[in-house]
Amino acid sequence: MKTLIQSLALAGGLAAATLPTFANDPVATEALAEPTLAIAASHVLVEGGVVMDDGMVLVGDGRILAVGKAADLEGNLPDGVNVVRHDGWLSAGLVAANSTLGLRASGDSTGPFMSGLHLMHGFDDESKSLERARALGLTAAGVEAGRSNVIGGVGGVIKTDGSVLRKSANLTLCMTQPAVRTNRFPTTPGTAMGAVRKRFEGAADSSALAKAKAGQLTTSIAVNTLADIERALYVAEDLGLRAVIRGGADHSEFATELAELGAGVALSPLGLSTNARAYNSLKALSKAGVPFAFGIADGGNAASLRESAALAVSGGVDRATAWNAITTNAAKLIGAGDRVGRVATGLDADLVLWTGDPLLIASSPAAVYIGGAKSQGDSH
Amino acid sequence: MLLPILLSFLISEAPAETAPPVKLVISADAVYSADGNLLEGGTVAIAGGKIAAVVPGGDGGEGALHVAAITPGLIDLSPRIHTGDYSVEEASEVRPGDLAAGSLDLFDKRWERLLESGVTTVMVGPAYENVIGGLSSVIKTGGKKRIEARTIAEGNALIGAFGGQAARGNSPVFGRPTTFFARRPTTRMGTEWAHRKAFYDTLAAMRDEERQFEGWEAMASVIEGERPFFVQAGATQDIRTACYLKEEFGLPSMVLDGAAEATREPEILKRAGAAVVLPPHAAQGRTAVDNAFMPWNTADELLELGVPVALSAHGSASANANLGMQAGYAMRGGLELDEALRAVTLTPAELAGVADRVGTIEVGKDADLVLWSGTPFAATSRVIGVVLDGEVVFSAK
Amino acid sequence: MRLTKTQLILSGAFCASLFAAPADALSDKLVIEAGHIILHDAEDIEDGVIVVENGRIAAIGKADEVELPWDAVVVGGPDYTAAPGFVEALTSRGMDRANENLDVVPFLNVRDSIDPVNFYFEDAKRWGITTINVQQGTNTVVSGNGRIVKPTGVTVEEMTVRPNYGYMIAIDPKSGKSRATQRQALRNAFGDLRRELEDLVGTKRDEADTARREALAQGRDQDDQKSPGRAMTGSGWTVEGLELVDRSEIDEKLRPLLSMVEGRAYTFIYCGAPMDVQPAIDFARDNGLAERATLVLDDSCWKAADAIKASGMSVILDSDLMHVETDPVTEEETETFVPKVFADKGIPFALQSANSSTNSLWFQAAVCVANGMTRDQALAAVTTSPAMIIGLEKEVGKLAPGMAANVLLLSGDPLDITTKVHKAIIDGAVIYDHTQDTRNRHLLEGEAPRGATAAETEEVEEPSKTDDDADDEETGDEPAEGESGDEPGDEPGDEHQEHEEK
Repeated sequence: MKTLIQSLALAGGLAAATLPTFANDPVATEALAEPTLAIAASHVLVEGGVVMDDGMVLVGDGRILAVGKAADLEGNLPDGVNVVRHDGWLSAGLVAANSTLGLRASGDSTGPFMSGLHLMHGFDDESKSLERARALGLTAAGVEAGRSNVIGGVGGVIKTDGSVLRKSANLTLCMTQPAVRTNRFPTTPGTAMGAVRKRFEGAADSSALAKAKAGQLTTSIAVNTLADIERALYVAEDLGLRAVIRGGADHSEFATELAELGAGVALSPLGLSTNARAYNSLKALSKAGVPFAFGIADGGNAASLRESAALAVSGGVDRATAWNAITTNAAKLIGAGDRVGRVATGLDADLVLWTGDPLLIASSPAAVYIGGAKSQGDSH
Repeated sequence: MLLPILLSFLISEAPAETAPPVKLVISADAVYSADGNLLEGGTVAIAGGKIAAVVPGGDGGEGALHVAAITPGLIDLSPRIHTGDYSVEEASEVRPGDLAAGSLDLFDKRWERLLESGVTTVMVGPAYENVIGGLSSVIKTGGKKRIEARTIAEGNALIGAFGGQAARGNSPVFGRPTTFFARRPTTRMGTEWAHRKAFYDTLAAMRDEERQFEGWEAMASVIEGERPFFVQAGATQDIRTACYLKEEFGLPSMVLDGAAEATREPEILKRAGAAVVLPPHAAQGRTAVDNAFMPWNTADELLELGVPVALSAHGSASANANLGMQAGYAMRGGLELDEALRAVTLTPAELAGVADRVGTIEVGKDADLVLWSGTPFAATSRVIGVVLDGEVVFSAK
Repeated sequence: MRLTKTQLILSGAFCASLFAAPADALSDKLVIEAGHIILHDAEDIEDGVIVVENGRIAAIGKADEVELPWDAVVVGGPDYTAAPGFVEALTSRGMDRANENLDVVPFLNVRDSIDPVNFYFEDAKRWGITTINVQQGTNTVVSGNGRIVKPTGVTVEEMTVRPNYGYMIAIDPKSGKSRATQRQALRNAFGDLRRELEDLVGTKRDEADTARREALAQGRDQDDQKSPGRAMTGSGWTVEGLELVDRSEIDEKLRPLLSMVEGRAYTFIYCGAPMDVQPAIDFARDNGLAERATLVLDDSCWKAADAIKASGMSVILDSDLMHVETDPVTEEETETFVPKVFADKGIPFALQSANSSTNSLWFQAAVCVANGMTRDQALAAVTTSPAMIIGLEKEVGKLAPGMAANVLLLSGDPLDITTKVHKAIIDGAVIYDHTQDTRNRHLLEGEAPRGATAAETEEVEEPSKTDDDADDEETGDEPAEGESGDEPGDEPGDEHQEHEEK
């Protein structure tokens, strides 16, 4: 006899048949938990470009168990399931490609090469900055070192409820200002680049550098100018890094190379004075299939994420890509694409209930769930 | 009409399957190839990014490109198109191993302006802020904006500086200094001392592994003559100092950059066998390097002495100071057209070690050409087109 | 104008070393021989002669066709080219400061600022500039009175070709002002004049009334009063009744403005941006200046060329001939060659030099040819056109009988970079001889001047005596500002000079 769950899964599967399938961690049927929460919303923003009207999401054991039409799922709910009805939008929680949330300091000024520095040792899980970010709909973020060192250290991925998703996820490099041009070696991008390559070559197997080279850590390379991007790509290719270019205003020149390298781009937030050149660059990246996302380590705050997505849309980027930049692709860039960023079975139940379409600035979060637990907002 | 002739010429010269097709044909009233040959009425054919043929006659016919004059792309060994302080590692004064090309900004607008003024190849090194700043590279001014794509000779010369500039930012050590600029040298003679010490240390490193230091191989290559030593020396005393250093260590090849006062020590210069890159002509004679005074007939005098001379514009692309005008000013100072042309094409190519690829219009060399509206270097002429590696990269409206 | 022996002696050694001892000037007749003579609107004369009498050109023609006075001094030869001296349409160089701190200063006169030994004048001769319109600079509201000079003479009076000529009016704001406050200042200046005139007329009328009433009361006839002044004329505005006022009663600070408004004084109106052009034209019209005004333009003002064409005014162009604009999105640079825009639209224009050496008037003309203008257009822009603009078209700018004998003897074509001015003749006197030009020979040929000590080659250098010091000694006679410090930004590539040594 089929269990309830199995029939639910079937039903969910049928409903899900109308949605594109994703490469998820397969969730073993036996391990499927019972749903404890069901959220119904007028619109479920499943992922960029896919919106389900009158949809429902089933949550259990911190994960999304099923996504489907409310009409299909509602009938089969077990007793005791908390049902939330939201007259508005439901989406995945926002993801920031980089941030310094919860960190007291984003770098150590002992020296320019701090590959042994682990930023998560300085992570304060009760920091008020997490609460503020959460209230704005941000549920997960990469945590990275700042730009003041050439090798800034190893960062992780956190959720805005204070939990740590991954302790070691990224390595930060900065071969430009402000790491370069201080009263210490290196004072030029060229020698910074040379020093970085030398250290990678001589790195011990257990070190962060070796892990970055092996692709176990994302390497976030901070840039300012076009020449910086050129150097970043050179280093990434030379060392075989899984690179994310952090910063820069115009990447269109490098779109093909970025795509060939499989690299991503983490941009600083857009603003009202951002000019056409930047939007053309986003379109070029999109066209070349280069994933890009927004980060707030170098400026801005959680609110800047939705602002950037909305501005991108008004600048001519399609909605799907703009939305992905603050959810799916951001998750991908920080190496958490298997856990967050979409409303899909098996992923963490990091969800936000919005008063309206989240890509409209007028909308705001009504409730925020992280790992299935409500951390923000009143009940309906 | 000329095309079949050219094609047949190519076919007879090379196996048919490897000869690239002729892509571009340009004819001119005068083709100056800079090796002394002047073709009055000639045509240049380009294939595979290289010069495929240079033949007399041919006005090209309809649709063909015809200009008043063609010269090889101009070459500037001192364009100073680096990123200023950002281009030289100042953690210490002697950094022979650093490659300046790593700090270039190819997206700077100056590259395009330089190209449009007719300069197709430059030698870029670090700024002259260090005693020994590192290694230069020879780079094309156009093409794909990637260092590897543009470099034709990486680390071609060791760069150093005499005179006051290297010492300029340093101060003597007092008490507890808070900056690494509290160090030697703080004077001109200190700079010279630093040079000599570096070379002494290199000789030691060459003999004894224990004495090897970072970048010693680059210095050794200069002693062995594998690389030229390219130093800034403007004032007479700096030129002397540089020549004495060359003789003391028996350095086979040295080029003095910005040597404005070169004609004041002709004997020492000649005896030492150094070559010279002159700075831009200054309206009243006081040049950019240490205010050294350069009479406008300097290039002429040096050529008479048998000293190889290249001209430079320090990266200026303006109508009255670009490299073409420097050649014109040198003519005002007494050079003939072909001598002036050589000083901005073949001679700098030879000094930089890339004469096998650029510097003249010869079959097999890179198709780097400047197309002129009249006699080259005349104030009434201008650059109306530039061909780089066989592509027309600039064309005036 | 001839230099007498006394004046020569008083000049001093410096001048004597540079100029030819004008023995030629002692004869009032000069014959200039040249292999080519460049004429305006006519074919060059090959192997020709120019006959000069009393400072003016008496005849020009082929050597074998012109009768030469037996008692003339002969200069030149078949290797030379004779060309008209260049005319600098406008400059504020040659003075200690280009502008005042005060806004409206038409009562000042550049006679009090021009320095005859300023390096600019010395260099002007070297590069063939023989007529110079000196005005105050553009950083003003209404400037002082300028004058036209020639670059020879030891006093301003000797240099003067036309005194008390021209005022600079700026539409572009003076530093510290906005465009709005600049316009207000201009309105105030001319408004103050108007008010002053109206007040004076009012007072005079009252006085006349009083006098009439008195006469009536006393029962006598009033004498017929002749108008002490004259009525105001002007194409813009006028004040009725000005004939009642004796002109000498008008505030002398405002009198120059009155001559501008009455069209008796020349004005140069500076526009710093295309948006200034129509307001400049309107301002000129409204205040009666238009007939005697020339626009002075920044390089961006080519965009307003149509408005200028419609106004019929002539223009003086910025020394920066190529206007560059950068697209804010693509960062592409677009270049516009400014003189050609005006040439194509048929607007009369003159060029300015940027410095008197590597960017002198001959060079500006050469650059015009390089950018597609005809040789005639280019040469006209530095000779006949500026002559016309400054009202001296019958005097200078071309070689023709009756004109002032301002002739250059050049070693080659005037637009050729290797050409040097061999001799320069102004008003029939040889005022520049290259063979005597110590400074230039030092620069071009490294020739050390007579009396200079040569640098010794020493094994051990004394710290106090470097070769840089020796250089200063050699060129020590000349005024210090002649060297690098004088004209900042003039010498391209010399930017580092001031910063080299700490």
